Amino acid sequence: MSSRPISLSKLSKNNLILFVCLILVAGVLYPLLNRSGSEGSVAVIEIDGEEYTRVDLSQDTVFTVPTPAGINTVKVSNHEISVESADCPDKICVNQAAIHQSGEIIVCLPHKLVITVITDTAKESEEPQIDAVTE
Amino acid sequence: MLLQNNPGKRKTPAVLVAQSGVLIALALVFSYVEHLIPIPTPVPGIKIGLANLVSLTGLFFLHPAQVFIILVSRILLAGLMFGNMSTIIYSLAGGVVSFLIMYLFKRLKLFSATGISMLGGVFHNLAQLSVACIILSSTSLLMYLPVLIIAGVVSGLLIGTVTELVSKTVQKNFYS
Repeated sequence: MSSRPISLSKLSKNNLILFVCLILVAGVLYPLLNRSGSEGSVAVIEIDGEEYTRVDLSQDTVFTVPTPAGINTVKVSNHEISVESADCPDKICVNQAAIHQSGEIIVCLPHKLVITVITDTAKESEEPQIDAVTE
Repeated sequence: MLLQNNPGKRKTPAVLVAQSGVLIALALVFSYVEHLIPIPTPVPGIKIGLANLVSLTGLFFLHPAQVFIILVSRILLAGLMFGNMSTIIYSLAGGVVSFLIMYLFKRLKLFSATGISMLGGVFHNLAQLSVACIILSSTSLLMYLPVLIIAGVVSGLLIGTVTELVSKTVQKNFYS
């Protein structure tokens, strides 16, 4: 019992070191992985890793995206894109706020759907596309 | 005190079954409560992990195999009751990986329950993110990684702190 306070304080010191290390790792990774910030102009919609379509965020529209697992209704309004409704079980994609900065994403995991906002002038994509296809 | 082994008396199968049943029920209630109160988070998938209280406290007092059975039973039951096949896959990935990490670091005796819990939280989120990336066959989710690490640390801190308090009471009432 007499050695307990010492070992406990040593453990708390280790805990603190661990805490700082984990926060540092997150802090270092954040700028590396997060490229959001600038205003995006185009949203890329991917299904199961394959690009499905691109939409111009400057034109308000509502359209459905049929995925093999179900349907998502995507809404573009006010330079923002969001999922208006979906028949997925968890509705996480619907509950996510509308996105507009480049790098921001909305994901519907059950439908394997990813919506990513990009700036088309940044030419981050492999093939420089001139315009988005709106339907 | 927390890190001492508490082999206790050898448990009869009846005691093991009863004890596991009660703890699975408790963990299930934690899962249910968490399911009832969704916390708005910047990144989907962040949660406190209340049910981890049971696994973590269990690691200090029970045989790891018993804790593992409690964990897997809870995930399967919670998934069947208020989830679906995909939530079971994510929960299992996160639960099993964080259990293994927490067990490893408990054995290493480097950290107290709080540190072990932080690592468990972080690795739970890492495992779920990996599964999500594999299922989506896309790396776009990786931008969530830093946020998920922080979330794992914060929830780990909370659960770990509570676990240390609970462990003191359990120690006093059942193991001394």
